[in-house]
Amino acid sequence: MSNDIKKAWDKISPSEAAADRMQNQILESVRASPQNERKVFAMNISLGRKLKAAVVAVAVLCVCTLTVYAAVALLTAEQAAEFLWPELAQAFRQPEAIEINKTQVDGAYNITLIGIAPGAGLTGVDIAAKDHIFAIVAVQKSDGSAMKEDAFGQFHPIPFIQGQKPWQGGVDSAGVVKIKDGVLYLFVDCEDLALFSDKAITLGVSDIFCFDEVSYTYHESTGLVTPNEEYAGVNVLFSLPIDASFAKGR
Amino acid sequence: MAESLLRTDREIVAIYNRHLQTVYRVCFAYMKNAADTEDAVSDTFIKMLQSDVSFENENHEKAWLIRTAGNVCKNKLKHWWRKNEPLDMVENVKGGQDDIAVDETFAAVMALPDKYKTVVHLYYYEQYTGAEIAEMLQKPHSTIRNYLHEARKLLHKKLGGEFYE
Repeated sequence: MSNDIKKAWDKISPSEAAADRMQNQILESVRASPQNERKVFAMNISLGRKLKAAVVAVAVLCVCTLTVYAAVALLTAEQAAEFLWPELAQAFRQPEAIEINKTQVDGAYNITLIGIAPGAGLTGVDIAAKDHIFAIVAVQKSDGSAMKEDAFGQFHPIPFIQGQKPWQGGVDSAGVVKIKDGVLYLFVDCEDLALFSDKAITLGVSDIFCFDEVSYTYHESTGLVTPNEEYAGVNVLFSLPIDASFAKGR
Repeated sequence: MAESLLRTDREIVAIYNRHLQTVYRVCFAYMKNAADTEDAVSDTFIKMLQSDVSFENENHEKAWLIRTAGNVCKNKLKHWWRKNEPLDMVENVKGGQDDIAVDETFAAVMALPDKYKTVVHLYYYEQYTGAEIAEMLQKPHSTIRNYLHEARKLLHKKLGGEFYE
C-alpha cells in the first residue's frame, strides 16, 4: 500500500516554471520589505505574542466558565447571510426565501439547513446570480462545545439534482464560511441550480469535497442520492423545497 | 541556522529548495489546484521569512513549514471553498508538473477528507511517526492514530487490497 500512496504523492510536484515563479515572488516580497521595517514587524510580532497570550488567558477564563455552550440559538437565514456575505443578504429578504431550520445529527456534529433563497431578482450585486440558489447551513458540535477555525474547509456542501449522475459534474458551488458564537455558518452559492427547479434537488454536506461513493450512493432507478449509513465521516443530506418561483428571473 | 531577519537571497533560495516539494504537497492536499497551491506555497515561505522564529535544525524548520502551510491553506479556505469537480472523473489534474494523470490510487488519496489526507501524506510519504505528526499538528496522538485508521478504511473500501496495516 505505502508504495502506491508514495507514487500518488510523487505526482504532485511543481513544474520548473512554477517553482521559479514562486521563488521570485518570495524573493520580491522579502526585498520589498526594507530590513528596518522587517525588524519593526518582528518587534510587532513579539508584542502581538504578548497580546495573544493575554487574549488566551482571557479565553481560558471564559472556557472555565463556559466549557460547554448552552444550546445556542442559531441566527436566522437573513442574519447569517448579513454576517457571511452582506452583499447577497437581500436574497433572504425576498418573499421567495424559505426558512427551513432542519437539523441532522451526524456523529459529532449537528448540521442545520437554516434556509434557502433564489439569486433571481437581486439588485446592485456584482455577480450574475439570476440562476443561483443560496443556502445557509450551520454546523454545531453535538457535545455543545464550540466549533473552532480548524473546521474551516472540513465541511463541503454538494448540490445533487435528480437524474444527474453526480460524477458527471452537476452544478458548481462555492461560498463563505465563518464562525460566530461557537457555530460554524456556511453561505452556499449554487450556480445554475434554479435551472433545475422542476427536479428534486438535495444538498449534501460532507467532509469529502465532492461526490464520492464512499459517502453517498446514486440510485440509477430513482435518480436520487442517499447518504451511506456505514460511512463514519460526515454525510448528511437535505431536501431543498425549490419550485418555479426560484427561477422567476428567467 | 541563520537569523531569520538577516537571511541573504542565497540562504532563502536554499531553504526554499530544501522544502519546496514538501510544502507544495501539503498545500496541494488542501487547495486541490496548482494556482491556489502556488499562492499558498509562496505565502508559507514569506511567513517564515518575515517571522522572528529561529530553528534548531532542518527537521525543526521542515516541521514548522508543514504546520504553517496547513494553517495558511485553512485560512485561505476560510472565506471560499473549492468548486465541486469530482477529481476522479477528470482525466488530468493541473498539478504543476505538466498535468497529473489521475489513476485510481491518486483519485482515492486526493478524495480523502483533508484531515486524513495530510496525515497520510506525512506518515506514508514523509515517513514521520504518529507521535511526530501529533506534535507537528498539535493534536493528541490518539487522534492521529484514529485519522490513519479511518483513512486506511476508506482507501481499503475504494481500492481493496492491503489497506489495513
